[in-house]
Amino acid sequence: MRNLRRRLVLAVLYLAAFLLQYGFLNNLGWGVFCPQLLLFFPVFAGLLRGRWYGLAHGLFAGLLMDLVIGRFLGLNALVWGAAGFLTGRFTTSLFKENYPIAVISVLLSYTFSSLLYAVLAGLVSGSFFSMTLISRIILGGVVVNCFIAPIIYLPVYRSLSYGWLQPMPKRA
Amino acid sequence: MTPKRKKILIGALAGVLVLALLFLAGLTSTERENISKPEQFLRDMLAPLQNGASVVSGNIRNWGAYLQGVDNIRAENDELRKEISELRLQLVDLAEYQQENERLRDLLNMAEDVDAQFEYVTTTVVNRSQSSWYKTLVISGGEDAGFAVGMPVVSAQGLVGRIINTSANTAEVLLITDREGAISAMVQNTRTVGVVEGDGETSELSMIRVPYDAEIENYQQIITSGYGGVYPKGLLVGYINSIALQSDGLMLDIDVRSYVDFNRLEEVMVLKPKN
Repeated sequence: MRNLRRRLVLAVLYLAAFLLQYGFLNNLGWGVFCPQLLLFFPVFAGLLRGRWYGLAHGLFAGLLMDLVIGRFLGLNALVWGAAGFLTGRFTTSLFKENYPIAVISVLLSYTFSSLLYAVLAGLVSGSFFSMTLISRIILGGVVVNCFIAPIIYLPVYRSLSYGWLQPMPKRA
Repeated sequence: MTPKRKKILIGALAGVLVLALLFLAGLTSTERENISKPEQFLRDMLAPLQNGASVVSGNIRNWGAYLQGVDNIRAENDELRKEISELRLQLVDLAEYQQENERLRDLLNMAEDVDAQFEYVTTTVVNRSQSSWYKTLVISGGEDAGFAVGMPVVSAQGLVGRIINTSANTAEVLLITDREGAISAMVQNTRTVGVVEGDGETSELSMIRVPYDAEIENYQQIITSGYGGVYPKGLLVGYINSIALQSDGLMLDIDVRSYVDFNRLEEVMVLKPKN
């Protein structure tokens, strides 16, 4: 029952984040200062529940983006899956209650995923992005995503610890 | 299973996953006539919700303006802008008609008017991804509304882009400001032909492949040339903002400004062939 509720909450959160980003925030005309809400799923999943959860959420969130607004099917899934996995891989021994950890994870994951996307999209399409565009997207995204990371991290952390997103205890 | 074997298995699975996703990305990297069924399903399912959310964002933007106490001025301004846009389009049309009349008096039936060829279908913008790598818009109305890949999209201020894929209820539009959205264009007065392209970073355009001795001036209108078969001839692209000589001295670097505010587009028109 708890598992079903957790999945339902996750599905609603994904839908809400998607609509907020691609129906609302993108239309406000903030340009590169538009938050990448879906990226918080793999980053926080990796950070709080480990690399495999980070990978799974990254693949799912990336594929959702690819299917609805993406140019190349599978590229965002690959990039965000890697970002979620690596976040989980390198934060195993860190103290998760610490806000700066969440902010630094978002900063590094966003930078890494943007760079990887730029390189892979360039290789796949045969047309590379300019360094100016890459740096604009990374700088704008880093500023806004790092700013809102703590605001999102607190409820996610609480919910995962003793709220609706709390996972089922592992069987002995 | 030993830990070593488990590691090898996981590594192999990861490798297969990466290769499969890269292969899929490669397969879909070219412009596609038809998008896959899962893409169509998700886009159609989410389109009404996105539409609702974009209406809310539009209202919030308007609400912000109301709070600033400029609503009346805004309405008047909008009215005047609309009038200017209409007059500008009329002016472009008239100039175009005049020139065409002069040139085609002996060459009747060589060129057809855009209005005669196309039907203007007004639709709303439901999503824009101009902040990201590619400059595209998602508009409501897709195959069910008769939209198809390649159809030009315009606003009252000028050319916006072309449809690059469709689902039943939505269509994706590649903007002319995207680095892959280059168009064949000409200076309206002098008929100097060149290519107008975006840098993919800003909403600015530039006209390239124009020889150094072309007789052009600032503020002349740029229209589509009709070459290449993507856009019909005579659609307003923008105006010349500045002209500079390239370092090799052979070609001109022309800065072109569009009249379209790509960040605030809410309604656009799709040019649907009449026959």
